[in-house]
Amino acid sequence: MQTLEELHPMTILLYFLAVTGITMFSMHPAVLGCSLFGAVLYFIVRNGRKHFKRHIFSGILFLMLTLINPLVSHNGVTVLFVLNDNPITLEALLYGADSALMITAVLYWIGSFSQIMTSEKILCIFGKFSPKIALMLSMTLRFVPLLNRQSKNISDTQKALGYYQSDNIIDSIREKAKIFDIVITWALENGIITAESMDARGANLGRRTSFSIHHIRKEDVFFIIILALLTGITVSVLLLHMLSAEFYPSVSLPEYRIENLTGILTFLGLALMPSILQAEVSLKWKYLQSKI
Amino acid sequence: MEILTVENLNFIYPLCQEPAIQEISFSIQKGEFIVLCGATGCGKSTLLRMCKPELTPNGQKSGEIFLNHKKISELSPEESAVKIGYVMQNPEQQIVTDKVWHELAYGLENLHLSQESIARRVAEMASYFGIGAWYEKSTAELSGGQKQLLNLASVMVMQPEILILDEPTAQLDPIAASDFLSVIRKLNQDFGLTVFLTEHRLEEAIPLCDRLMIMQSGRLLNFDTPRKAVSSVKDHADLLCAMPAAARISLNLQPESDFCPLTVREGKNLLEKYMQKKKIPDKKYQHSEKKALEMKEVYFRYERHSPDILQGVNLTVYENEIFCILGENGSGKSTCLKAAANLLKIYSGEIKIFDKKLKYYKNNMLYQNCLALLPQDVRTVFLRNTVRKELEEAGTKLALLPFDAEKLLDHHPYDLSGGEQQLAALARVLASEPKLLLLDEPTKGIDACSKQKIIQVLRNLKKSGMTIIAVTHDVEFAAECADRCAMFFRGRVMACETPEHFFSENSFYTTSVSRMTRDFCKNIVTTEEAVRLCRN
Repeated sequence: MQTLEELHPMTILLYFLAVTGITMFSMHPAVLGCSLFGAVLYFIVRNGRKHFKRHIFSGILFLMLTLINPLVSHNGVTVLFVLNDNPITLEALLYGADSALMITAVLYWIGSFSQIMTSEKILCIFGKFSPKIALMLSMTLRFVPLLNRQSKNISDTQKALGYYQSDNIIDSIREKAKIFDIVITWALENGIITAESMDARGANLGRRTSFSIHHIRKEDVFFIIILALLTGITVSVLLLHMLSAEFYPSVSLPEYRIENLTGILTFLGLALMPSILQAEVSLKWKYLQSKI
Repeated sequence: MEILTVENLNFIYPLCQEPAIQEISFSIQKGEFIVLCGATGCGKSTLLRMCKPELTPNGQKSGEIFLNHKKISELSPEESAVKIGYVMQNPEQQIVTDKVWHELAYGLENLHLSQESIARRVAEMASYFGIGAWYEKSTAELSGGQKQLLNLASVMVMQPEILILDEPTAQLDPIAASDFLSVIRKLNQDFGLTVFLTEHRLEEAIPLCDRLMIMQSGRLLNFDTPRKAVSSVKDHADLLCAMPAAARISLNLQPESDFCPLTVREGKNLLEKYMQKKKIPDKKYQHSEKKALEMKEVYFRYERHSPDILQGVNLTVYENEIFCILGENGSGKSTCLKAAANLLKIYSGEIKIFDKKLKYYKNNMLYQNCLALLPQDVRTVFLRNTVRKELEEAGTKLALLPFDAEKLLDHHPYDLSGGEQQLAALARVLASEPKLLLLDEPTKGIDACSKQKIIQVLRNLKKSGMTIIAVTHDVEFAAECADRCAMFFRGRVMACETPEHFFSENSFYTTSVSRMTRDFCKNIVTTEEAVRLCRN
């Protein structure tokens, strides 16, 4: 069994599309709560105690989004108090909290996504559609850090040659501009040799394959079937307006019935999928180790 | 059977009067290992490039080149991409993609092979070259030697019939270079792959080859077995200085002999006759009492949690000496130089330049009339598009330079050869009139002739009172020009002596002359010394 990040890039992409898509299109607080719970749990399961600052930042963002909405929007029937002749309403406050839930959840999902999707996985996905774009991306990914390194080297060399002489800002901008200029020359010069090396290996032969080291395995198929099932149920409940929520003029949630409870539960399952996989893999390892 | 045949080849670059290649004809048999040598600018690279249709330069061409009896101009693009493998000099710039596995697959992707056959060929090549361990790494993380090995492997996956290499080891340190050459040797032996190679490092390449091709100003001077070809250059000083040490000694001592030794073993046999009971008096080296650079217990690391790169360096360099620091890759040599130039901040210890602590040099005072650092990649020195502008702006006094820079002035710095670039950069650095000059690998990628020139320049600078510290891999260079040498290992200075003692104590990190002569007479490290002693 594999964790989510070890699956095929396409599977990973599909999962994140499904979970963030549903989060963004549903306003139901239970759905958003499940999404945030799943996202935070998965983030912590992967990173442990690291990225503490991120959690603090998310907390502050959540509070600010919640509090700003009632200051801007004055709709709603339940007035809490009046500020500068403007009514502050309970509905606006709740709506703020609801959208804050959605935004933080999506940010957490995106955070995990960018950690998992390394450049080569993105390339693999692009390669399926256009091998040329994939090659261009791969070359860019190599070239940008190379350019950075060279300009740092040039700047260091020039420093030891007494190039930066004054503390004057305008002079130092001028000095930097010259360095930028020569880095471009260097890049072009470099580019010619790279182009020759490409040519020598048949860059102009026409159609090309996009080679990838990822393969679709039975774990991927299994994962995608469960994903499709859970997403299908949740989306159909969503389309039946059973998971919608109205905040203005007053808060109204659809009645709890078997349909929307199923929707919420399936979505909870969807949001917890990566964390469950991660837990399962580590349990399995412990079990295997105890047998050795 | 011939695989590559060249007939009456002539070539003139556009806007040039002199032909780059004149009346060259030769043929290479299948499975042969050919080394091509000649001074910089003699047309070696042009000749190699003309054998690969994609890289053939623009210009006036006459004559014909055949691959397997078929004109190479009539090969299909696919045939020419696959059958002729070409590896260039600079390891970094040939790499196209960002991951090792992708680089290996690149050529095969171009051939539009299926996923399965690409996977298979890539896997096979990666295991043959021992790339498995860094298969999923970024290409940027690799060392120079690994990068060049990757370049070779990604050409070899295409299964070429002939492999052309243009100075593939020029940018590598000696250990990586010798590993690389032995891989080429192995490919040649294991698969009968035809190899056509140019090299600066002839000491190791010549004993490997079947035939040696020597070029001089666009013409083919000789193409014969290595012994005969080497013997034929005895009247050409510019070619002779690149030959293996054993051959140089032999051609000096017995120019008429028909057996020319090429390896250390053969050189030893030759010297046995000459060196019985000879002794040279110990040279006394007297250094100045004034210190130019003093490092005491210097510690440095790049990041908080990374290991120490400098681990208690103690080093004293006196005024007016040439001091060489040798050592393997990653031992902290270059880092030590950067720390001395105040480009890196040490976290413990003390560095004094001319008896003044580094921190008392305020406002870039260190870099004016005091210290200058010439980095490994000398191209980072240039900011302008001609050498003349560069030097004028820096304020170099051309008349005071210890060499003639006139020829370089009107070129773009990037268009110069390695040796010329080094000289131009040196001219730029001397503008600030430093008293202490730090050089990082001044002989990297430079042919033997330019190396001699640089040694001469450094000696002249020393005469004018400058102190020079050079970090280098090049033992021959250190043996010839250093007053004292130090060995760096794992962030510390291990030994620090005059070159005669230093190289005669070392058994691996030493010159081939020292290896040839040590049984008969200690303290001989250069060919001149050996020849002089034998003549006495």
